Amino acid sequence: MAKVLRSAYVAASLDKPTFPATTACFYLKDSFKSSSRQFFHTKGMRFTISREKLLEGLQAVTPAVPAKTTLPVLANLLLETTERGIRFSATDLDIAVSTEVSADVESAGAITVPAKKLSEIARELPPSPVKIAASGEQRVTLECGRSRFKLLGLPRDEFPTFPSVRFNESWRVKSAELQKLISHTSFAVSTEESRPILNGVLWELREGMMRMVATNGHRLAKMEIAIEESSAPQGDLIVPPKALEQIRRLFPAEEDLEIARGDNHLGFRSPFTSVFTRLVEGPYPNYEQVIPKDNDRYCIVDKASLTSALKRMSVIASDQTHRIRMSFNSGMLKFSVATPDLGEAQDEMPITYTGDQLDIGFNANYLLEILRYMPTEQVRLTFKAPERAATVEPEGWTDSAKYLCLVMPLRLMD
Amino acid sequence: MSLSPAEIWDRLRQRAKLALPEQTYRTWLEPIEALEADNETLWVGAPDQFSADWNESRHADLLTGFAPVALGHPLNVRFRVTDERAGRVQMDMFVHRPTPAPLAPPVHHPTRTSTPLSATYTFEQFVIGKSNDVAAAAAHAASQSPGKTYNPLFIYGETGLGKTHLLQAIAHELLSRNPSLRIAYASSEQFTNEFIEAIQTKSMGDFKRRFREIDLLLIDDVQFLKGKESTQEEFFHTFNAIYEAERQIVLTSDRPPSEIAGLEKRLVSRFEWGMVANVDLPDLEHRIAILRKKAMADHLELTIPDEVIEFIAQHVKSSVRELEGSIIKLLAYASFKNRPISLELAREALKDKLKGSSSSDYADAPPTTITVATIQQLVSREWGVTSEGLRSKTRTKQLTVPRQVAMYLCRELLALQLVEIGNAFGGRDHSTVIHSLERVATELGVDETFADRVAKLRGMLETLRTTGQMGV
Repeated sequence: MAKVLRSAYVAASLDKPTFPATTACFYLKDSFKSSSRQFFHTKGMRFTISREKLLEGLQAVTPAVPAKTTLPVLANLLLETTERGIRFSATDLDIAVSTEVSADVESAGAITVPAKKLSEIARELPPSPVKIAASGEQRVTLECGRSRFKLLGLPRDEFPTFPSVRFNESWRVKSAELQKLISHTSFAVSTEESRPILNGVLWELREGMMRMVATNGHRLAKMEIAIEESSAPQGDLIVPPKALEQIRRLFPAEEDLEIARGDNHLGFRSPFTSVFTRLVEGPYPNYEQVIPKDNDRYCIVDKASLTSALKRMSVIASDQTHRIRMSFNSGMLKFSVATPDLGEAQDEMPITYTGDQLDIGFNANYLLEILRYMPTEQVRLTFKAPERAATVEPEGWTDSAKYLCLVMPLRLMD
Repeated sequence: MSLSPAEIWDRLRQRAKLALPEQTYRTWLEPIEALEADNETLWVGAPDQFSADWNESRHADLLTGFAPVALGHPLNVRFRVTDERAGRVQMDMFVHRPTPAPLAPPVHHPTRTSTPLSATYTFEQFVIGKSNDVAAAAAHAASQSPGKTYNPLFIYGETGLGKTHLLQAIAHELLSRNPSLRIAYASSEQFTNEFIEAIQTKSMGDFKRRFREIDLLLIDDVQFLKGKESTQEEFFHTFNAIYEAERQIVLTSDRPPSEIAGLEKRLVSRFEWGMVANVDLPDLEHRIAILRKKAMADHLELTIPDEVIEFIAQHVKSSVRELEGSIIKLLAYASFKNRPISLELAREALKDKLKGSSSSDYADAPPTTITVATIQQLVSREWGVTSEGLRSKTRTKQLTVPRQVAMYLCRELLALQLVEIGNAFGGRDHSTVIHSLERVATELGVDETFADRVAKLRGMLETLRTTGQMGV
């Protein structure tokens, strides 16, 4: 645990209330502020941190800093002293990430500093302890070995408060299971601004099972995992993929995550790190309705061969539609592509398929993307007709999870 | 007052924004756009069926409820998936392909995006005299057997003599017999603009459909095609397509085809294929008849004594528009002075015209004594703003409307270049000017009070032009 100087303990316990364990301290700024503001002005925060711990904190939160923002303070990180060290926080108002790393706190306080500059400095510092001190509300000094920096920060009061999520009705999920769901589905979300619902990943919590679904209307990914008895409330949550990406990245697979829901927000936390996100207001469209139940033609193909054939074909496919034609014949899958002003290409590969010939058009990119996430070497494709949804599933997967992807065809003009 | 679908949607949406939770508004209403509106319904486009259904069930009634307050009249708000989405080659699981046989028969909007027809421009309202009987007879014949007798029909004459009136009368006549008739009515400038836009947005297909798959093509002021080579080329093909389909074409211009400089030979010859008819200045009796008709139409036959009508007819000779402008001016003067209309009052009200005609004949009067400044001054006085305001950058509604009107009048009366107009109004871009002109043209067709106001100003300015004197 954090190596904390005895003097810092004294200063911290004198000047700062301890945080109730049920609420993320990130959101308790108001109570924190009122008691300690006087203190900042007179003395300012001061701590020493190892270069590794500084980088660790920065790497955790800087991905949540928005690239462009109209609110200047969002380009900054909030650094706060805690009982155990320093808490780094960043937000883009949709999601907020904070993490705590150990440091020697000499005097308590909080300040915001430009995220980008602090990261750039930290990367180039020699491997010596880094002394950071705030003087006044806006100035930060950083010393490491013989290097000295003075940075202009912004008062911590300007850093936005995030709506509170109370953890007293929280439930627990294994980080590994969440990672698995996220990594197999969130790629399929829509990026179209006019379809905000589809910009989120649907997370369904059911008795003994949880499921994630994402789609952009053209292709869909769905995975479900059986879960043990849990206190999770049943219901549907629509979560921005950006937040899920942070969750996947920040929490080690072996950890248990604590999750709680606020009115329009969701909070995830482990002992040191927390992620909060706005939820997309539903409902989510009825995706079950579009998953074909009566696809009566199917084939099993080798994922690697299919991928390379598709990659070859997509070279010649149109940049806009990426349209290729696939012709399923008994024992043979034929590919063809013809793009005006560019040229044409054909390819073929042996497959196990019995049935009448079926010609169907696809966006090659959608298929390639789905294949990338398929966990098995063989995949099973199912069809009904050229203008009906096709499905892709792992073949011979021993995992207990159920995974299915769906892709809508492109209309073949000729 | 008519708002575009986007403006209607914006007004309703602003109200919904206040009534709904922010998240709901942002998710469901903010990202979508209006498609079209008629008197009863505003259609709003949704990206998929799911979004259309949800909005329809949750927000349609709410938005419909706002209409009377936000727009001043009731309007239904409906949601549907945009046609563009449904037609894409990439299939979408939440978008259904439009069914081949739609439930409601397609409603033809004869004028669609083109300038709407003016309700008063009918054959009944057209006063035939010696100066325009050939043109009127040809127009009437064209409306009786479109595409057969006189095709194309080319009507030319000075401004304000009734070319547009005849053009629209043909459309009215044909529409009254077949309301689903497909008509394209545009000024040549509008044709040019739409052509350019079609090139820019790569929607030539739509453009061709709009101007070629029609039963009647009406193009006003073809002289503005001069010097625009690609537009002429496109117009040439449009012309041929319609001509070969034996559909009626009617064109107007301020001069005969052969005198339009900068017009390709092949177009000139095509314009002369059918009937070329002239509208000329009306003679005295004709002018009296026009004024009587105008008085009847406005239900003023009892308020304006015959002697006053004759008096105006004797002194106002330049155009029909000016004749009508004189009546408007006389009425305004009478109501301003609060006196009944009499010969004496007419003499007072129109003294500038009298002076003009006594000192010199209208034809010899300096043709353009009006300038941008005069137009700005008159328009700003009419709208109760300042000329400086018109030239300023301010874009409040109080200023934009008169500014657009002033730009419109500069274009119409002074035939200034778009760039010149832009410069005269605080250095505005020529595209802004185009937009303003279109805006006014649209408003003229739909808002009668507005049209009257502009006609009054125009009358005053034209009087000024002939007499070189400032009116009222």
